[in-house]
Amino acid sequence: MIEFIDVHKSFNSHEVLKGLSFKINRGESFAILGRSGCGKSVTLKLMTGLLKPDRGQIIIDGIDITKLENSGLAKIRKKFGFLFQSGALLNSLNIENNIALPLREHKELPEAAIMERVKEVLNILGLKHLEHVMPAELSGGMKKRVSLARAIIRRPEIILYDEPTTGLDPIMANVINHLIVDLRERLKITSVVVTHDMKSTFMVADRIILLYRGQIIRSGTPDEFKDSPDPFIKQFVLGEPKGPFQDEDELKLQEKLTGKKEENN
Amino acid sequence: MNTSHLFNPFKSVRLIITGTLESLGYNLLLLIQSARQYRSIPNRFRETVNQISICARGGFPVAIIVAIFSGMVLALQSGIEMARWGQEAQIGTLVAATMCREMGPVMTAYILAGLIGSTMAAEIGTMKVSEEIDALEVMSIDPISYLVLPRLLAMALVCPLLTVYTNVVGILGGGVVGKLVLNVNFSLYFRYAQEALTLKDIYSGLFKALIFGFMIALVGCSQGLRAENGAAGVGKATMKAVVIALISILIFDYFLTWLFY
Ligand SMILES: Nc1ncnc2c1ncn2[C@@H]1O[C@H](COP(=O)(O)OP(=O)(O)OP(=O)(O)O)[C@@H](O)[C@H]1O
Ligand SMILES: [Mg+2]
Repeated sequence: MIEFIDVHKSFNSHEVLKGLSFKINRGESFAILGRSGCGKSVTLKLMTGLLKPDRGQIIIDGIDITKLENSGLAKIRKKFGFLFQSGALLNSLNIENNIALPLREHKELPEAAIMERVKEVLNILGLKHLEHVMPAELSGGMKKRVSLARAIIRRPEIILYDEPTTGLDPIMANVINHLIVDLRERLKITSVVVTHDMKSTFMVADRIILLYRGQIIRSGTPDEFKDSPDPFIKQFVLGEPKGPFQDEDELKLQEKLTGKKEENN
Repeated sequence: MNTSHLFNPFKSVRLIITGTLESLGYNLLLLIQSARQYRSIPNRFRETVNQISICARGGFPVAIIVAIFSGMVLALQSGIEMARWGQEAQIGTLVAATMCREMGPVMTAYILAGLIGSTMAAEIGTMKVSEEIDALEVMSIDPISYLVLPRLLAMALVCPLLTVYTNVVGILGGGVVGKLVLNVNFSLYFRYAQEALTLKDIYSGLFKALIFGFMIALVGCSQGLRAENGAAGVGKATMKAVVIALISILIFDYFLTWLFY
């Protein structure tokens, strides 16, 4: 359903992805792990054509989206729901209009049915009676949930979750985890979950990849990850300060410094 | 030694030229893309009306004040000079022609560039850096149709409308100065004003205003859409939107005047 083939992406000489390849099957729950700044959000943006790779192919349902123009992309994007890391709610619209926006814009349902659905998702996400509040008045965790509501309202085939539980209290985080599992089991939705929350990962994922230095260094099922003796996995899962991982920011800085030196010489 | 941080006139001229060309290209592209979205205009009716009200309410008070004083200054400056030859009654001619042909549209456009063009750049720029534009795209909502089109249409309408007000108020302001300072009576002033104006003066001024309005919105939106690097980037985009709009207004003003007369 989603396939990355040797995808490279860099920003101003900083190479973020260096040959990323993986395949996600229909109905699967796919978790992407990695340290801050390793390119997880970039990977999700590549998947929806918001960013273009420098090299490589990204295939969605048999179509290479790197070659598509706007109208073609629009068609592919209908399959996706995207929960942005920052929420990305439209600040000029109230909650109801934010959530209903994708349905209203595409005139897919009559107004009454849209309202019905907005009520339904607000209920599921514990946001009752917030229809007329503006995004600026919400807490971070609430924004995230509203954003999730907007991502699922069109009943997409694929949902991309960028850190769905970050900033939520443990109870709400669990609600969201159950929701992700539920959406997959009931509606056979394909999910791609980027997260730092190991509990959430083990709960929702069928398969996990771990990114480091622009590539996949480890992949496997949650069971394989749980008790793995592998030093990379162990360090990441247990969050140990000492281990084979180097800091991504430090790597970037190093790259910058060595890059500068070469320029000067 | 690395001297790249020092001021280098050749480099900065080169940067200005490449920057201008790039900006020009992007604006042109945005214009074409907006034109391609013409079919979505009926869907954007409500947002367009909303933008019209924002632009008009934002520009109106400042435009009125600036217009009154422009008319008064015009009348005073020319009146003092003309009074030496006893021709002070002629200020009506001068104020009316200058306001309608030049001052009205250009002043209004300057005000709108500062007030509305900057707002557009800041608003859209903030949306860009906070991933709201990305979110629109993922929802298959074209940001150009959703954000740019209503603003272009609104400004193309509001700028000429405000110009009409500016013209009228400016001429009135001139009349008041004529009466109070130069002792020209109102009916004489307005007769000269009326005689001075041809239909062409009025519609050429309004046509200029329409082009300026369009341009202000286009530059504001295009700077906003290209904003990068968080709040600092939004600030820079806003500043650029105003500077580019002001310069383009002057340049276009010259060529439009040349075209009409
Ligand atoms: N638009 C952009 N312009 C320049 N650099 C960018 C851009 N987007 C991302 N990057 C860089 O790409 C790298 C990866 O960013 P990304 O947002 O994918 O990280 P991440 O893995 O999602 O981290 P986190 O867990 O903190 O969200 C970072 O070094 C970032 O600076
Ligand atoms: Mg991220």
